[in-house]
Amino acid sequence: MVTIASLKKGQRGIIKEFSVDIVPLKLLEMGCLPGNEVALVQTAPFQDPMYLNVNGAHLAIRKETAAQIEIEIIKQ
Amino acid sequence: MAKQFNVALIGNPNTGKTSVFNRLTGLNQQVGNYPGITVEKKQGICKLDRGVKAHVLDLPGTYSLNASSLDENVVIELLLNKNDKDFPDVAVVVTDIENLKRNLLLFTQIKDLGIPTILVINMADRMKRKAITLDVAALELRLETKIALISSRENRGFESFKKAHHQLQNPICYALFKRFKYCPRVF
Repeated sequence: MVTIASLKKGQRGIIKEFSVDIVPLKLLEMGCLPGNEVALVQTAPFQDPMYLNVNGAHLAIRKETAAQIEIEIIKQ
Repeated sequence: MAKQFNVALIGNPNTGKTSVFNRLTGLNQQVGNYPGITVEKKQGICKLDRGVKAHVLDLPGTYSLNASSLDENVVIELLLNKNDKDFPDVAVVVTDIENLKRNLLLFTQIKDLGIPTILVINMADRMKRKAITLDVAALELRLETKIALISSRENRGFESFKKAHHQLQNPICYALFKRFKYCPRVF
């Protein structure tokens, strides 16, 4: 499945529906919701953690967490 | 005779609540450019318009009323207990202009509690650099709340902030979530 972890630098995606059991509540509170846009700004060495722009706000998450959130990549 | 009441500064971490607190009270609480600096309640006094003396309470930042740590719990315990001596008469939600969307989640939760609320949008000095414009009047109408656009770094906007308090003297508070519209049977 295509997840946030699959994003390349500068790529954007729209978050698809996901199970609330896997994603931490704090991420939801910070705007990581279905229908919102997520873009990869940068990653650390070894691609973990990933620095994202989620719905206008910047945050960093582990690749492991990013792999839980399915997205639909926006074709440039 | 001066009346006094409680004002609580609530908001996401790192929005400048403590800087606003320092400006209002003249105190010098610790600030830093990373979240997690304020971990407990801090109190001070501020004189608002027309002789009103306010007890200002600076609180730790939280993203919502679902607490996930001890310092976020401080905020929730205060807001859910009407009998607490520090329970606010006015809740000031401090948000930052660059992350306004994210900050509004907490704002809507506070507003739905039914406490008279003022929305403060801080870091106005960043607007020019980031080419952000904001229609404050339209937002005030949409959110049904008084908004004060301030910059605590440049000490601007505090007069309108104090004036906004005065307009809350006899508030009628509508929760943003229109209960009767969505589900009259349940609510």
